[in-house]
Amino acid sequence: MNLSERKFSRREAIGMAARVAAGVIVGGVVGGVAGYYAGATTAVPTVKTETVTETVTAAAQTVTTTVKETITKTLERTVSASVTVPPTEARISFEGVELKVLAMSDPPNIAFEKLAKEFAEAHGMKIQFEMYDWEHLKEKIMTGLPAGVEYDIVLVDEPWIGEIEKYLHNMEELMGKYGDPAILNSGDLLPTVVNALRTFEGKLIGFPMMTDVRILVYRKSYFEDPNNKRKFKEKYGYELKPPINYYEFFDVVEFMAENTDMRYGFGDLWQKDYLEMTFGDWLYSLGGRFFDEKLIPQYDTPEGIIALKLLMKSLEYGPENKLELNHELLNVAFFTEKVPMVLQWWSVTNEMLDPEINPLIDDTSFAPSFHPLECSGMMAYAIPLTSPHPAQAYKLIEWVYSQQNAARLISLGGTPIRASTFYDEEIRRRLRIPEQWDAALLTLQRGLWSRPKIKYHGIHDEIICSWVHRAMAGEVSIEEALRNASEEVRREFEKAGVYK
Amino acid sequence: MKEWYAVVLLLAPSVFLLFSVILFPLVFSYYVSLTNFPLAEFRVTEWVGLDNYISTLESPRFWHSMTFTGTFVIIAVSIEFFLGLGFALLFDREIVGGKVIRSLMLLPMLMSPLVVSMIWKYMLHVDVGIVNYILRSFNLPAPAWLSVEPYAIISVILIDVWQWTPFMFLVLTAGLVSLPREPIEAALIDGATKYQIFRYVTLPLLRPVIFVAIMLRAMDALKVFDILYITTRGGPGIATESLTYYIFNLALVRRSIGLSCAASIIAVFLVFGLFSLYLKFKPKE
Repeated sequence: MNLSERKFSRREAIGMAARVAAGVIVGGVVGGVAGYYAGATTAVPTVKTETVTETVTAAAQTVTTTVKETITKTLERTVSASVTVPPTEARISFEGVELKVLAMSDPPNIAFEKLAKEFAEAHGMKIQFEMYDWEHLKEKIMTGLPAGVEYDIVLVDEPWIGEIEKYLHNMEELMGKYGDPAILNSGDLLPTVVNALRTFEGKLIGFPMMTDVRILVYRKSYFEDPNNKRKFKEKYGYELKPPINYYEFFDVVEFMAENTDMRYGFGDLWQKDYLEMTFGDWLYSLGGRFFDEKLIPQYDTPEGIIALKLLMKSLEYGPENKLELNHELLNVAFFTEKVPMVLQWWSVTNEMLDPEINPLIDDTSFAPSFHPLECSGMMAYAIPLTSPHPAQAYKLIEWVYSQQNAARLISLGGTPIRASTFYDEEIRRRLRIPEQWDAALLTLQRGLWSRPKIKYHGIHDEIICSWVHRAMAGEVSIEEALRNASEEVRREFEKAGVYK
Repeated sequence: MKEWYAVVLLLAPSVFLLFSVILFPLVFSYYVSLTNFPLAEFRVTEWVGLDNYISTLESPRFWHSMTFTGTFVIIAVSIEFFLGLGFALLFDREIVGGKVIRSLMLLPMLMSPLVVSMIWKYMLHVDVGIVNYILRSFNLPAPAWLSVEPYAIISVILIDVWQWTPFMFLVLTAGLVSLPREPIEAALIDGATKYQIFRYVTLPLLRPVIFVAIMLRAMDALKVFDILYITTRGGPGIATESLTYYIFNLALVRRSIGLSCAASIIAVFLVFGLFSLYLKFKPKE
């Protein structure tokens, strides 16, 4: 009988629908659970056995004619150095490979993108970039890597290392497998930079793409003004200059806020999301730590309390919108002549060298941070274990960050990662404001602290940022904020099994 | 037997869809809420029973986010309703350029909340924002709208009102247009004033539409996230941290999926309970 001709009673229809639904649900649950466990298995990827196509057998080869033709004139010198293809590279097939890169949309990464595209074109590869701001990159990495998304190269920030290292290749193993010491010259890399990218166990998770550290950006004219110099010396008994320690810092910001046409003395990254770093600068400089060796939070120690008090004292000299100052708004505060000094990431200060963005370019100068210890902000290009083309990805990174490209990388907007680049006279001559580099180098030499590379960094980061911001907004006292943060992190760590 | 297969075949797609987009995520969220599920591990590491629920219910921050969300919904939806009703009544007649004005009024609603938030973020900027520029030109105080309490709360409510008043306007205009003209004409013949017609005829007739409009807007406002994410990041402190923003923080910043699922499940039940109460005690027709 045709279905359309058959009459169903309501009870019969409902019963049948219920049976169908139950069947689908049971099937779905079984499928879902199976899928979940299957997903969990793929989510913890293991090292893949890689198949490489041997295209050339000779020990050293020359670049093909096509490559020569596509190289621009400016590239001639640098590429000529890579004309000799090392034995390892000769075994790797680039033709037709498409690399997928996840990175950040800032000048050093755009510099990387430009060079990476040149390399890809010269080797007959395709390369696809996904670029986000820092916050969105973090979300992409933190969800994409555990989910097994197949990126070939990902940009990772230092504090994420503890959480995602198990999804990434050990860069030193790849160096041993595919690397060419002659191209890379890793001995010239700044040891501070390389070590910042290691896990506690010593695994190198990525290749450094940027040596970032915060430096002081200030209005030169305010420090050179004879009237200001005289008044400052009369009041404080020493010469007016960019501060190099906390005593000088508070004198200078007080002076600027009270004795000049600036209503405020200083700006820092005071938005909630940045406070692990901003508070950490004060804490670590005062000898404090976020955790002891057993990972018990140490926020509410005497050092922590003094650190937050000093942070809040510096906040008194900040502009009205101080609690929302992120990178972008901090630059706006400087450009709109609200504050004579800001503490900004070196990589972000490149924007301040652009006359179209910074109307005060002729009056902008740089000095080392006044914190005895500054937060290390190294970022690295890493290769996920799920990458379908780890060899090609490694060779690309190696070439971009080879010594031969160091100068080009800088001229395109990158920051130096090599000791020799800092002192290269030719590069320094080409820079408009070399004191920006000197400020960074001096800050690097004075010392850095690293954000804890722990598996549950997110818990600590979210809780400490939230409580410190609450104290800064006046919602809770300093002691209460730090005590609550300590208790909450400890409780969460306990639940997560950190202390087992 | 053959008919049975046909029924299965016809029902399966919709049942499957319902299961995969609603039931399975809900059941799976409930399961995850009873476990530790760190995002970095991407798997259940431990069965913790009701621990995540106890932690959430004991957390003052959870209750603060509930309070903020409730305050936000009540104030924002009320303002949107009264403004929407006012505009709907204003344009419920023939006026020159009425159609053009009506179309223009709908523009904010058609924009992405992210774009709206970005625009307002700069309009409310303490130094370069147009709002403070105007205030300063009248020698009025120009506060930091997005980083000082209570201005931050006021600002996010105003942004929501700016974007969603057109929705109320649209729904209530549709309601007004569909009202029968006879009772109003009868009241006019009986000598009722305009206020009396509105109070005793229009408003009672419009009540079902008002109820639906408020319900839809309130359900949407409960999910407020975009505005807060772009403008205040839940700050200063946690002053503008809504329930969804709190859950987002737990899930993607703290990366504790188990805890965020527990907070979500509690929130679902609380919201469901509140709406049930609203439906039970809503004014009778």
